[in-house]
Amino acid sequence: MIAAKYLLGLVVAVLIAAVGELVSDEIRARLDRIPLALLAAASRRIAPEFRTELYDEAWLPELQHILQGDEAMPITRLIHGTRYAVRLWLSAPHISRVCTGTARQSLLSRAFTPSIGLVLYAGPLPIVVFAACFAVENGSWIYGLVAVLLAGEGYVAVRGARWLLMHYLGYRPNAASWCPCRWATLSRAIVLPSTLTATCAAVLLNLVNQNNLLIEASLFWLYLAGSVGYFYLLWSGYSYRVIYMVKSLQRRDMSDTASPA
Amino acid sequence: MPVDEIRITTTVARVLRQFLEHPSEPCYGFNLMRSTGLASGTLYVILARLQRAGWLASEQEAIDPVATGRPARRLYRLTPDGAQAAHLELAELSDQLRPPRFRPLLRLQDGKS
Repeated sequence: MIAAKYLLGLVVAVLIAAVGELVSDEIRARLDRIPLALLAAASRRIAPEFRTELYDEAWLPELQHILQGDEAMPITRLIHGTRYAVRLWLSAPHISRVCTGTARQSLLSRAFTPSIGLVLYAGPLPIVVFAACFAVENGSWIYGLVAVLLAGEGYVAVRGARWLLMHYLGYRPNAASWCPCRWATLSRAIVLPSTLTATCAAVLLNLVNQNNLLIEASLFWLYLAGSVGYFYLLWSGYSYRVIYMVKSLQRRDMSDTASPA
Repeated sequence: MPVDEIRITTTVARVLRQFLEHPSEPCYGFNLMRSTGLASGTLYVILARLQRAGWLASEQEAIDPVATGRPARRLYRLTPDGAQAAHLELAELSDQLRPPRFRPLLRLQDGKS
């Protein structure tokens, strides 16, 4: 009986040791992936045209060297690798700007530059608001406010289109070139939250009055056409980034071909 | 090919000095981090700036990744024009940072009294 207990204890001890080693291996393998995952996240913060050159050819081999180096002990390599990847994650936008030769945008400019989210939000906005205006029987001061705010949005969109035009003409952005956009930026800072609030108010008012938002709007199609134009302007404002990216690539190609001569 | 001008800060100077120690030998990013004491985020910004200005050239290590079991690392080396410009800039910075002749404060006070 006692021998059986000893045998059972021995088997349990062996099992615990084996499971412990498996768990340890599992944890070690997962911890080793942390720096790699962080570095992959850093690569997504750099301009796509430089990802191969920076991430695949420079950063990743160095990280592999840190993780597999001769003196890389498990905890040391985790700390060194994570520190290496985190610092690159933090600096990736700066490195990307150095490579593309673009200027740093101010925080306000970055926050309120036309983005996909804004385009998706502001695109259908005129339809909803104008439909709401024509759907209710009795007008309200809130619709006038919305119209004014929409005019502000339109102004911002026109400024975005102006940016596109400037880029078509080969205008290169730098820190100073953001200045003409300052008014658009400031107006957006006021306009966007106000428009969102006013739109919600208008829609709520419409719901309280139990009117159908779109079907009862007699001039719906006219405003739909206007909205498409409006959407285009906003999209134009957004696409200046893409245009600039293409232009910087073209410049790079030209300098590459010119240098051997 | 002439190189572009670059703003020489003390951190940039540390990196350049490391390259000038052994101008013919290429440097790896991690080795530069260790020798200069700079973080990866700071170092790669400087390397990108120097490369863009034409002071540095980079190439992939000539190894077989399958045989060595690791990917080829990137090597950086000074271009001939970059080495010349780095020498001049470091010499100028060294002149600017050289302290004036040491005069003990105590002797000055004694002289005044």
